[in-house]
Amino acid sequence: MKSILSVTVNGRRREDAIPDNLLLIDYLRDGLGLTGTKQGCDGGECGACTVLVDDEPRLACSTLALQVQGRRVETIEGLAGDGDLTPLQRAFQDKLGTECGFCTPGMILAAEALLRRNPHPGREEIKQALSGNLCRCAGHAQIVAAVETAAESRKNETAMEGAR
Amino acid sequence: MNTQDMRIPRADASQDKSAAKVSGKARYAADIPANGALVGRILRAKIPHARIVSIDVSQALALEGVAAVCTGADCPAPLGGAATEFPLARDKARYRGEAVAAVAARDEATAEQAIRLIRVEYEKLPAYFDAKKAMGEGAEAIHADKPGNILREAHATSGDVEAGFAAAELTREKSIKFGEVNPAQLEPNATLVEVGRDGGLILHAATQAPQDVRACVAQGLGMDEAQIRVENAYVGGGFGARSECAPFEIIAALLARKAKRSVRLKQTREETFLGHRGRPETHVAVKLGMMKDGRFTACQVQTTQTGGAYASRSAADGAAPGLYALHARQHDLLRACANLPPCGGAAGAAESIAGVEALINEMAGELGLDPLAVRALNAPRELADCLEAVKQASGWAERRGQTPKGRGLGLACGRLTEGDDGGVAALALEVSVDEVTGKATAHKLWIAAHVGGALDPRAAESRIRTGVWMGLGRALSEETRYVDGKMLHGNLLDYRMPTLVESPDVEVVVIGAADAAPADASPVDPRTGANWAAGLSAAVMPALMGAVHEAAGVWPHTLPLSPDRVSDLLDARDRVKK
Ligand code: FES
Ligand code: FES
Repeated sequence: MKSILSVTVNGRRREDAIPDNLLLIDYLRDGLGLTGTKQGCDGGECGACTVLVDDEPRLACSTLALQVQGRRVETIEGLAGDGDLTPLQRAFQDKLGTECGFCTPGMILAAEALLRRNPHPGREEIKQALSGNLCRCAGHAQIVAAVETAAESRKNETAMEGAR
Repeated sequence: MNTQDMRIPRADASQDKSAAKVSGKARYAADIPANGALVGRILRAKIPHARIVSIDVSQALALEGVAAVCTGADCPAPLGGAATEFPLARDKARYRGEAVAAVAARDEATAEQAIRLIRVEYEKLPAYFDAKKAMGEGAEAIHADKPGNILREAHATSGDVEAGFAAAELTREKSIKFGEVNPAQLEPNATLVEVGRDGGLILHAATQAPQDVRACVAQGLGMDEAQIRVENAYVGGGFGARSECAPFEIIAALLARKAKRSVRLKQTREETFLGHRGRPETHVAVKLGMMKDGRFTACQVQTTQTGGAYASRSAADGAAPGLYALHARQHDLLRACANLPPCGGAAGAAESIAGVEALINEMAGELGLDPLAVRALNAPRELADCLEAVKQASGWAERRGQTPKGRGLGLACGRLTEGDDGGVAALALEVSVDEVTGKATAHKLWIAAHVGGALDPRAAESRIRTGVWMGLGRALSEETRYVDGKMLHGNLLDYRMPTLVESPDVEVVVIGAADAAPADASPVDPRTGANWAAGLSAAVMPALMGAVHEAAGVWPHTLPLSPDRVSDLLDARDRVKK
């Protein structure tokens, strides 16, 4: 069975005829070529496939594509668009929060969701928010430091905007 | 590499790579686009030890949409010249999950169906899952050329060990079992093989050893190396699983050549676990002689590994270098093969050190000595510097023995790599033990490492953190489990690696780093190609054991210290008290 999926992916509205049982991760990776979304496990264990659906983190491997009907999906490719890296992405780079990089897209999107919900999270909140995202390589400190740095730079940006 | 690449300074290249990683542009093996590639699938043995009587692939081949079926008959060359491991099992299957046949088909469903249509006739053989039984009297040989199922043996003695023990004022022995651990690299195994017009092959492989993959694929397919190219721009971790060619890379190439089309072979997480090449279950029996002031007089270590059915070809040698200035030493290593997934080449150096460190803590306790002072007394200069730095950083003198009820402080030393050459480290760890659930929680860790020069301090620190992180996993929760050779841990929930919530604050002191290339976050030491996880786990595990003793009054003997193990120890303690 096929159905029409209307969805906004990384800011672009699209309509695609897709099989009813297609997983969101396969729609994104195989259908749209958005391979930044990673599959690290056989379902629901690792968080590597985290994407944002209406600003909330969602496991694309455990979501049917049709479940995002009419919603707004963001993947790692959409975070900075064609522009420069976002402060969060830069912080992961600068603080050595990415080693092999396989967990990184999911980790960044989980952190992005946290920062949208709570721009100034404490260390424990950061750890909690990222606890569903496994990383085998980077020590936690580098990842937490990256999120803290990004929160800090967002704060400065808002302060500057306020001063203008 | 073309000339343009060569103009990019190294630091920029690594910046470009990390930019690609954080923006999702980095393409790993499964991300390489391949329109029209066939889907590969592997049939795996369901019996842990069996003679393969026959394989009938006719029904699978007849299925519409199947382009190629391969079995061991397609590849008579052993994997990389190893004696008995083949990319696809030939005469025998030696562990549950060994690849027996493979198909390439137009889509996943067809490939799955074809796999189910392959008929394999087995003749069951007795199977062994621990070293003792495998090496037991009259056991069936898993490999014809390895009687007694001994895969490897090494013995090293220096000084007069007997005289050392005779001179000792206190001699103690301890046996510790360390669980088998899987590399659990986050990127599942995946290969895409493209077939060129001239019949040459391009492999996009999740490997850290492209040269070896190239050589082994050429050998396996009887091709010229010049006809094979291996690309591995981004690799999602390895930790020993990807430091040499794995069977599936050759299988993918065999399928592509036979089908004359591109083949994508993706593996599930469960299959990736089966690929293993991690550290085997290891028993360490340690005997240590000490004077009453804490000076060591002799040390004897006997290490027994329950290896898998096969071992990595790049096996480390057997002599485990000690940490201390101690002349009288004896080390014996025995690796048995068992009917379990293939293990890595580690010779148990980390476990040997961990065993000695654990016994040092116990004996210092018995003699009423400070375990840090005992080590400092025996340590060569660089290690003594690390101990002093950890002492300062952790406030050891004030903290020791003063932790609140249910908490404890432990200490141990280790090497960064398993060889002689990679620097040393000392660390202290504060832990709490929940008397009700048996859960041990690491709260704070202080580590000082002498990295031995020529390393960027920031990269060194990052590598230390990674090593500590993996060491904690091994100490607290990570362990493979099998029942009759059937894997029970084949997912990332049952195989428990630490999450961010469980990670303590870690304070790192880097000693002796100087003058090196700019930081890159590679988890491996550029000088040795090894990561520091195994070496540092040797210190994290005994430090945890010491901390648990201070917190709960029990001396552990089996790792990891998962809540059920700690509960058992607490129960045993309470039975004795009553
Ligand atoms: S791929 Fe692991 S949770 Fe989705
Ligand atoms: S950087 Fe390798 S898994 Fe996180």
